[in-house]
Amino acid sequence: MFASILYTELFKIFRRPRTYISFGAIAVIVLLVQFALRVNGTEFIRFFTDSQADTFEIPESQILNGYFVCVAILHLILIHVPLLIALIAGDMIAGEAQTGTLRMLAAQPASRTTLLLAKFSASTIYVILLLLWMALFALGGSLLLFGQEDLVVFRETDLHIISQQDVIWRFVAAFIYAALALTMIAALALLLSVFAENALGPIVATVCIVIVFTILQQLKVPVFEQTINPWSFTTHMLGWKGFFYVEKTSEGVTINGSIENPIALVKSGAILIGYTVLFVFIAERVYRKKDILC
Amino acid sequence: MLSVRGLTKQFGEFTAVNDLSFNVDQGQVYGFLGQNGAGKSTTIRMLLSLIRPTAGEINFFGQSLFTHRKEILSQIGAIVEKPDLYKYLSAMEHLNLFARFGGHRPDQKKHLLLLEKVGLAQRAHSRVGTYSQGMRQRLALACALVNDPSLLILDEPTNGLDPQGIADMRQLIRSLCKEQGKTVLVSSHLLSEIEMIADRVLIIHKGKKVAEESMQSLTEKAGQLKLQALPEKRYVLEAYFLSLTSQ
Amino acid sequence: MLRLVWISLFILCSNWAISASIDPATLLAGVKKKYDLVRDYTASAQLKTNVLFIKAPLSQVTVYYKRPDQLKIKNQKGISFVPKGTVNINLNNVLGLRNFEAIAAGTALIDGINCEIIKIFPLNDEEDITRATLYVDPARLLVVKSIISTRESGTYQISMQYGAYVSWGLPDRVWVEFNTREFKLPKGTTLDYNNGATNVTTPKGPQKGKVEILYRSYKINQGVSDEIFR
Repeated sequence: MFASILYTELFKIFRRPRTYISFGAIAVIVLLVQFALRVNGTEFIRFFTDSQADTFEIPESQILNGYFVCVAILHLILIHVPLLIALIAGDMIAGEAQTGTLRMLAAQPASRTTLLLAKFSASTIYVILLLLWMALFALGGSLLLFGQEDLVVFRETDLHIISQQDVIWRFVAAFIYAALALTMIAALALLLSVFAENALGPIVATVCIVIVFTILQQLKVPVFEQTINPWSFTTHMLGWKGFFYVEKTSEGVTINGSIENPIALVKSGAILIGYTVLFVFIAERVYRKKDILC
Repeated sequence: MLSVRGLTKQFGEFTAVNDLSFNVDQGQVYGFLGQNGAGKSTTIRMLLSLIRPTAGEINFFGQSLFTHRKEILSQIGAIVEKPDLYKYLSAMEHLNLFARFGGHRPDQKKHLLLLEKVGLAQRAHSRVGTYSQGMRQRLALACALVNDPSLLILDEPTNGLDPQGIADMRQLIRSLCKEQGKTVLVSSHLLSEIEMIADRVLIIHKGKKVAEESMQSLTEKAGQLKLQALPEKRYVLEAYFLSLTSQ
Repeated sequence: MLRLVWISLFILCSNWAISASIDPATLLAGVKKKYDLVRDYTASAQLKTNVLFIKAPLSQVTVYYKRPDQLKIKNQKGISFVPKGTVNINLNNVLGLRNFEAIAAGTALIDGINCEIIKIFPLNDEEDITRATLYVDPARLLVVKSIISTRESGTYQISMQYGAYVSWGLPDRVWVEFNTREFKLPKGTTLDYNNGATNVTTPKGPQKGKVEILYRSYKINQGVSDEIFR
């Protein structure tokens, strides 16, 4: 029964023209970023390296390579892609309530739990497909346009140079982690969807929550850093970047295949999974007992 | 087939359905009547587990809805109020969807026959967004029938249908009942239609049952009423209905 | 016993006499003559970067040199942040100065080698080098260590270790130490992931950085195209 319902949910998602807007939007955004970096990439890199220009020879044209561009694009995962996820996941229950099809669905033999889990699973599959699409353009397209070199990742107080032989697996891991983060966003949107009878509410609410917590996180105000930020899911959504922070020896040489503080990544992943489970659990509990009056 | 005992639904202070009890026997067309806001839709939603009753029992086929929901609902097809469908899907895709909801594999030939029955075979692959209200109503009925249910619950099935459509619907309901042995619970405002097809009628008013009679018995009771002479013709059932629900 | 004392005294006096008699200009000329044996070279080497804010892998680089003052370090297969001062590995930048004053500033023991300290002050204000201190092994006419101050790129300390190519005056190993500016980007621009490692207090202000170049092989005087240095 679950497989049948999952099939129908996926069928509905991919028969809807709106779904392809998301894929189109990703392609356009990625191409725009690639175009911008193609035109102004050197200036962009100078912004990060200006303070060291007197001390070092900065190989700007080498730094601006396909891997660097892909990492820049992946920052979209924080705001832009969650909006596209919320468009689908936030519509799952509230959208059906709005169009009146929810009562027809809920009157079917499949239990509400099965239906909700099938909708969540369909959202997750959509997330994965969207990320694969993004990987195709962001990584594949960037490598084609900008070529392959070592990857330089800039942090607020340091920079990491990763050998090109040591990069691909990090991208694979980063995309997998991003899928986890965005699945959590889908769970949040689904939860909000259960409370609404209009799809716009959960979609906007999801994006607002992500924006607010991102702002709180980036402000680096001590009171937020100690209380909210350690538990804020937007803090942990950035965990994909952790795959690009490498360890170095006491002599300053990076260790191939290493990750700086992998325990933190595991912890972040666990927190994201925890949030996902929590959101889906609450959504299921509420939806099971909800009177469907629409 | 269906047994309801003491069914009650409260929304806060407001009691929408109050201690409702009735039985629907197998192979009957059971009419469900009431004014707007009487509690018909609320009752139907409780029968389909869309709403949780505050109190009462609902038993289908000798089993409680609360404990055997999946088995029961797999034998029920329903139209609840205005049938809202997926505008971006075609009629055939809807039937495929509903077949899967019922745990069955889509059967294109069978679905085409069903669409022929409801007069939509020519538009089987057109998007529902291009359908008229009447066509959507007919598709909704087809969706309710796709898994060959033994009980049909139809809320206002003739909404939006033209006179020919209404007649066809009436004929279809009769044949479902008489030829295929299905049980049909029909809620409608068109008292004339109910009068023509129902074997038994339940009338509710302000959430309470005010009458549950066979059509024959209702007709006899109505005939015993002293009706004021009126210039226009009135149907017997309508007269009796109004007399019960005007208080 | 008395003989031993007389011999020791004699050695001490000889050394004093030798050092007192070292003419920095002559010593530098000898060193320059040795380094001038090399017109150009292409060397394959390994570059190790040890800077607080840079995490870089061990790089395989190629070092190109062409007399008098062209030197380039290229990472053929990757990215390296090469300090600008590494151009001063080529001592011709110092030895080739036209107008300068050289002063003997005593001796120092470096890695077991008794070195003469020569301080160089360019007299031309337009030179990038403002002063240089060379630690010269007088026996082998090699510069073991240099501290070079430049207008554009700050001060660099370059240490050299010689081995297989000592006869050419080419080192096996070079360490370059230099001052670095603090690397700090505006908050929020990099959207960092806080993995706890960034909570470790990084010292503020300028720090010292170090690169080590380990030379594997040289191709000497076989020609190097000018295109490489553009």
